[in-house]
Amino acid sequence: MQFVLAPISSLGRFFINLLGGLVNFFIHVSRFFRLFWSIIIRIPLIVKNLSISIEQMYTIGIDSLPLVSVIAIFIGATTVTQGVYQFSGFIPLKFLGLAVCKTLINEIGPVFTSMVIAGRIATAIAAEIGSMKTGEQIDAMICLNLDPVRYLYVPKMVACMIMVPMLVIWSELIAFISSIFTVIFSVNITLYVYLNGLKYLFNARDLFLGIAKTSVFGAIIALTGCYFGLQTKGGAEGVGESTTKAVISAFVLILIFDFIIAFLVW
Amino acid sequence: MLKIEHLKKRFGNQLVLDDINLEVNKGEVVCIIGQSGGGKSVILKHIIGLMIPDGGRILLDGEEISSPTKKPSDFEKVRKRLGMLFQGAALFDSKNVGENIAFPLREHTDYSEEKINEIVEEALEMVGLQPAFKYKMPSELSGGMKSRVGLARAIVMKPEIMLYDEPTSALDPIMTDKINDLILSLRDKLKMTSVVVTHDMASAYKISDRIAMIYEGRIIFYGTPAEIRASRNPYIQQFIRGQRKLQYAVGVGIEEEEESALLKNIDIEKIKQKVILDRKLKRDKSFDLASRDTLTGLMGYQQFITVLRDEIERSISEQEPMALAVFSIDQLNELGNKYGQQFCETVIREVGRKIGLSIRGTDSAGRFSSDEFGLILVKTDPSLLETTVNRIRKRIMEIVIKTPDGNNIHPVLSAGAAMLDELTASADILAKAAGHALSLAKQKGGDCVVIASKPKAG
Repeated sequence: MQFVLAPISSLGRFFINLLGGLVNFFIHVSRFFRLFWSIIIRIPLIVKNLSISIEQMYTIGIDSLPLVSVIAIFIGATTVTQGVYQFSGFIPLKFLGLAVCKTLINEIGPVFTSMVIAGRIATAIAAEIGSMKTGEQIDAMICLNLDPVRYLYVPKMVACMIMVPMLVIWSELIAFISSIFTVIFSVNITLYVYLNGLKYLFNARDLFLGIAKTSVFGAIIALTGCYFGLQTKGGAEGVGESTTKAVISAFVLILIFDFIIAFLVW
Repeated sequence: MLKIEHLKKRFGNQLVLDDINLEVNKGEVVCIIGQSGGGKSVILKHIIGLMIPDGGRILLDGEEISSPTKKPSDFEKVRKRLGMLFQGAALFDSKNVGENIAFPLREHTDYSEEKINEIVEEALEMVGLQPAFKYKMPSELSGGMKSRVGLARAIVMKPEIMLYDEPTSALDPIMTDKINDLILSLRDKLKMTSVVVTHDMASAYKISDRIAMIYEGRIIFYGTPAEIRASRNPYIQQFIRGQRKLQYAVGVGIEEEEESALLKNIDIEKIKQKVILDRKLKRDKSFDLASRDTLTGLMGYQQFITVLRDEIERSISEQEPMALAVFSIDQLNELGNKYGQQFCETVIREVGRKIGLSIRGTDSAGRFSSDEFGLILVKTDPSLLETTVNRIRKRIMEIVIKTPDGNNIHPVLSAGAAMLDELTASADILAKAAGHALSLAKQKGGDCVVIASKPKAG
């Protein structure tokens, strides 16, 4: 009898755990969207505290420039090197510029740069808000009748939505320059041919949409940082856990939304 | 002014606040004390609307400000009347001291920057900090300074009620005293009502008009500092004295299972008596047979002195009278000469047994030397000492011992006794004083009691 009941019992436990996990997941999703909505409805109030948002823009944008620049240099160089390797023997190198352009503008530039920014900013936001929560600073704000959503989360969200596209533009520019230098020094085609390839089949809509979608990625970065920061429990260990969850969730959501946007737009 | 009625709060399966009832009058400083994790801070968070109760309500000037039906947004109006100082001050790390204090002013008032600056400096001065501090970052401040800045930030909007969440925890005694003075000066200068959560009894005694003690989610005591000191509730005594185990007024540790009965104040005297006897029984059981006097079954000298030391310490801490009496069998030498050593041992054994049977449950007896017995008399009134010792002596002398030649004799005893006082506050000195009194009794011819008297001044 035991050998019949044991698997049924295990299966029962599995489904109970699965159900518990699903309920938990949907609770998180609902809280996540509630936070998103509470931020969105307060965005118009930003004009009253513009200085806080500008400060955040500086932290998120200007301070991220060195990291984004270094990454962009290698994105440009690697794209060219990979293109040459994949084309060799099959496709003429005059199409190298076309491949690099489409790759950088549509996917690698926006997604890779956003993920790099997520690694830096989502963790920073989660750590900042997590520390504020455990240090009762958020409670202190509430006690002083200062709305944490308005003073903390909205500026970060707005700053991310504006600065991530800016950084992507900068990143793509640096990547193109880097790709040009790579072509000059290591590829057996003229600069003229490469630049012609870049222009070939260039579509301004692709460039615009590629940059515009990073505004959504910026919102995801800010939201995951804020959400997991607010979920922080305990001390330093809790903060560490929140930052990890924030960055992983940001990566996953960026890729999911990248697919959704690609599916809907292209 | 502030009234808490039947407040309840549960976190998951844990009932943190069971039935909290508290009333704070205007201008009063009320301290809420209790063990860590007992729900003290939770009460403050309910008052200021950081938490919504599961049951009960909070009234401010008769108006309901918190109840299970209220939403966090309903507290905006009330919070203008309240200020809170958090444990660790909760200063905003990204802002300097001045910006921290000015933050609520900038957002809630139309004051010019000059006016705000003036108010910030005034608030810093009020908490005893120089205006130059406004440029410092929170990371550059010590714990005490942070508390002061937190206080300055909280008072800058001039709240009527200040809530302090363990304002002196993790501060050194000097800084603790400064913060306490600050709380009192704010009460005096700004006429603020204060509710202070603390587990620092020295602070509670100093600043509070009334103290509320929370235990297992209920207020088990609410009264003045003098009243809490005089409380006979053993848990309160344990907490305010910082003792590991519960203590009765007589200083006896009790077991945990007895706590609940005690806390409900069920016939404290009865339980106290039981515990005293239990203690004595346990102590007696713990004596090694080797440390007992084999002849009489009483404690041996070393063990008796150990118990004497404990009783002296306890009596001093409880400020209770205590005495030591030493008895000696007067005719022992004579009987020894006449009937031999074996008969002397019979006399000693019988006297020892009778002493053991004659004393109160709370007293202790031991064999002091070959023909002397010691008796520790706890809670003994000095005016009744001579009568008490004499009564015991006479009771012992009632026993009849048959001599080898067939006669019946009664043992005759002399006694010396000494009260525990500032001059005899050690086991050795008290024993010497009682021994000296016994010598005087023997010099008087025996069969009497002499009480050691204090040496006259000069």
